[in-house]
Amino acid sequence: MELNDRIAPEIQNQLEGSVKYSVRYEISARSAAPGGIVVVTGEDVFVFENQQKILEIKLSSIAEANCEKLYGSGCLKFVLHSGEEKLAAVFSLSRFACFTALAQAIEYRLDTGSFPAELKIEQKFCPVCGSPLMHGSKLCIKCARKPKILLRLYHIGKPYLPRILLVIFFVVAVELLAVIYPYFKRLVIDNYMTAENPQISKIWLLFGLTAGIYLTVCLFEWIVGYLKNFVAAAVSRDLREMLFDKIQRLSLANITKRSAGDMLGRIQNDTTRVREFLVSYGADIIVRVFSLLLLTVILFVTNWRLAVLVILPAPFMLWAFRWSSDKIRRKFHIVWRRGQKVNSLLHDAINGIRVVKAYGGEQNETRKFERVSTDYCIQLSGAEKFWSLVTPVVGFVMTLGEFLVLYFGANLVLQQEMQIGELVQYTTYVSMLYGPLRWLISLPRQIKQASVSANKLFEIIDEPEESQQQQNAPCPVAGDITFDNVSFGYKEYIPVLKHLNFTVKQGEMIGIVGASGVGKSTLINLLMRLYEPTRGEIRINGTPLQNIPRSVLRSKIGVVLQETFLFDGTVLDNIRYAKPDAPFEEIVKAAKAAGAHEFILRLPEAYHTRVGDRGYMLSGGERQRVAIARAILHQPDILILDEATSALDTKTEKQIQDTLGEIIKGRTTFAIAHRLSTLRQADKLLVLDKGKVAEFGTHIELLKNRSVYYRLVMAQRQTAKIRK
Amino acid sequence: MPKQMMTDDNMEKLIAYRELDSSCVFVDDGDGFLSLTLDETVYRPVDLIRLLPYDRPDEYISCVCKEQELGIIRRIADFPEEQQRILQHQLSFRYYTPVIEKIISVREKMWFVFIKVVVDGQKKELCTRDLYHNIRFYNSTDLLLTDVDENRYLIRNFRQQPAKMQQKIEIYL
Ligand SMILES: Nc1ncnc2c1ncn2[C@@H]1O[C@H](COP(=O)(O)OP(=O)(O)OP(=O)(O)O)[C@@H](O)[C@H]1O
Ligand SMILES: [Mg+2]
Repeated sequence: MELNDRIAPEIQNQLEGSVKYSVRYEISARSAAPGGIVVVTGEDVFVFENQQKILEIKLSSIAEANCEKLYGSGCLKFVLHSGEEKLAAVFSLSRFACFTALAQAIEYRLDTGSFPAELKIEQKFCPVCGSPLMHGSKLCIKCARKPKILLRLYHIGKPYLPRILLVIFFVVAVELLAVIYPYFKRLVIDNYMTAENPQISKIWLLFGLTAGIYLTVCLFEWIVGYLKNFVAAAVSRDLREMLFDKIQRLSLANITKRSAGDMLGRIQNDTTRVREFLVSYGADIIVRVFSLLLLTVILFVTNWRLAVLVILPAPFMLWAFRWSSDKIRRKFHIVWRRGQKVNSLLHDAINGIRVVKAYGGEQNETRKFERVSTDYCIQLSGAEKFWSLVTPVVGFVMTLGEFLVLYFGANLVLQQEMQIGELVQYTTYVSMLYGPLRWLISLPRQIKQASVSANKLFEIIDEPEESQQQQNAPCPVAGDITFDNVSFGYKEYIPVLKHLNFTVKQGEMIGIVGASGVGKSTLINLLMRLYEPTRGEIRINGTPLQNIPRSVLRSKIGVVLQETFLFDGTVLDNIRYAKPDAPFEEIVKAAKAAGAHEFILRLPEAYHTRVGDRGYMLSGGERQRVAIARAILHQPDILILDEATSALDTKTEKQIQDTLGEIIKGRTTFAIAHRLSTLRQADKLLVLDKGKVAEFGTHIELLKNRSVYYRLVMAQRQTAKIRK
Repeated sequence: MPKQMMTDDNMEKLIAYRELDSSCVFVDDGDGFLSLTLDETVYRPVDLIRLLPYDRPDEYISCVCKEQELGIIRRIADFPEEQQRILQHQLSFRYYTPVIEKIISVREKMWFVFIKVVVDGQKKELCTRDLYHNIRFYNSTDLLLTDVDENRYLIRNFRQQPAKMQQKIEIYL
């Protein structure tokens, strides 16, 4: 996509220099005009409203270009070197992506002196057909609906080909038997059960035939059902595994652009939907459709006038079926929504029971629940009533053709134009036709849904992975770490870190301080290469981070994250997560260094105590210590401690620091802490403010500066005094 | 919080906010920004933020300059007419919310809902993802609809709209 909205000739005349970008907006903050246009040339930014130039800024005077989301609109603002702010445009949020790209292009130009070769504009609509895209995805539901994707499923099913062929074989057999059986029935009836030629003994023939065929069909159906379920389960298992494996290998930026719920949904619901589709419409879909056609042909050949009677009510039937199933679906959808409300209320009330009780909210909650639950009950009984009324009626309508055939067929028999057996055969065929017809009607919707699900799965499977470089020369991860003009934002229009420049010597301990939300953890994420900087470069020992394979990098980094996460498993499993083959002695040493050994001793099953989601509830500080032990176990070259001791009392923290002090000798350490006393051992402090490096130096130097750090220290001393 | 800070005086000081009355003067600078003169200091640019955008759009409006709250306007209607006009103009583009005059059709397609509407006298097709989450009562009478781009639209006096229009939306509420 390009940022080249049409410029009116009157405006063109007022411009000098060639136009790089032009973007329209629809909300005017300055005049009564219906919006205007922002034009960027090689040297300037202009804003026009009503063909009048209302703003002109030299690019060289701009310090920052920011795009902001307001409530119902967005705005583009410039901050000039003089500190003055200028409003360029206000626009509806449909234009937001374009203006973000524009702001970025301008910032790029400010940094590098030239405009970017390519613009990154977040796509919200399919470039092919213009329909909206799924959240954070390039998948277009309209274009994706091509059932072609289902063929890929059969591809995955290849290892199960013999079974699939067996399925097809048995389905063909079943269909054949089903078609042949009425024919035999007719033969028996017409030959032995007419008034002229009654042969009681032949009833046994009919009985045997029916029972025999019925049993065979049953057996075959059972085999088909078993095989189909097996293949479908296997295919969906393979899909699930492919997906899981893929998600593990995706880069964090790719993972976090979708919500965890969406990912879970894809792994669980979409694979289930695909499996269900394969079961009910699997490889035999063609056979079934073919046999339907065959039946129709037989009906017409046998008696075309009756066949017309069968077909005649079909459109009406289709309509009735469609109408009723749509209505039912809607009604039950509302029921489902109400059910969800009940669930989420339950979820809240039970998970938050402590808050509820603490504030005496029991009665309130009960009343809320009653209301929702009653609503659910009303909707449900309404829907059920409708369903139980409509289904039989529609069922009746659906079999209308059979009645017609019966009536006119009986007439033909009485006029001796048709034999009774023939009629029996005929009506059997008709009922065989109507059964699968329902199945056939819902087929398009099923295909659509299954193919969308399959698409959602394949979208992730096809996603590019974290690039894995092959390991050529051994890359020493030890060495000085340099941040060279690094900028980054999770969403491109909200920069979090801006122009970071600093070098950390090997073996130094760096304390990172700054207000909450300033980007400290983000800086760490960049260092671990969980995300790539939008601009600039991080180098270790002169090697750009991109050139160090992730596996090597991460094996050299030990990290305690701000949100200490423990896996469901024992303490032991959790500590040796990064080094599964570590001997137990080492684990104890690491636990001791982290100050964890002492409390682990007191746990009922010591190192074998189960922790994590469903296990023993460790306190916040205990979790942190387990995480520290995990981080130092594999003797990393770079140690990252993000608020690693924040939940500990100062005494325990001091103890751990003393032992840690020994361990981190010679290792480069980044420690983030709000409690400044935590960082007293730091060689240098990096102070972040508003996404930029405000100060960088030793404790003493920064105090002398009397700037941000000084104020932080003073403020903490104040509160410390008050606490005493 | 430590004990000695809980004395009433201290507490008052800590949580006090300034109520801006008609004695302070807002000026529309004509370049899209607003400035406010307060205690003989000129603040610019001043952002207006509705604290209760749904219930009380014209009351409790916080005035913020460079991430600092200068004070809260209790009620716009208390200001002189010219001042009201300036404030409303500023609010109108931050809280830009076109009004849907008529709903022509509602069509569901997989996860999306396409709604043909008339906005500002013009036909337009809006697209929302999951209408259940994106349509709700703005206050007791008006509906607020959010589309895929996060644009917001208003349906005034929903219960007084033609029954057809109500029906189309009803099941999502
Ligand atoms: N995954 C994410 N996606 C989008 N925005 C994010 C994400 N993680 C963090 N942010 C935003 O980036 C900014 C910086 O976050 P960061 O976690 O680096 O702050 P921090 O300095 O570590 O704060 P704290 O001291 O509270 O831990 C915040 O405004 C936050 O809202
Ligand atoms: Mg953090």
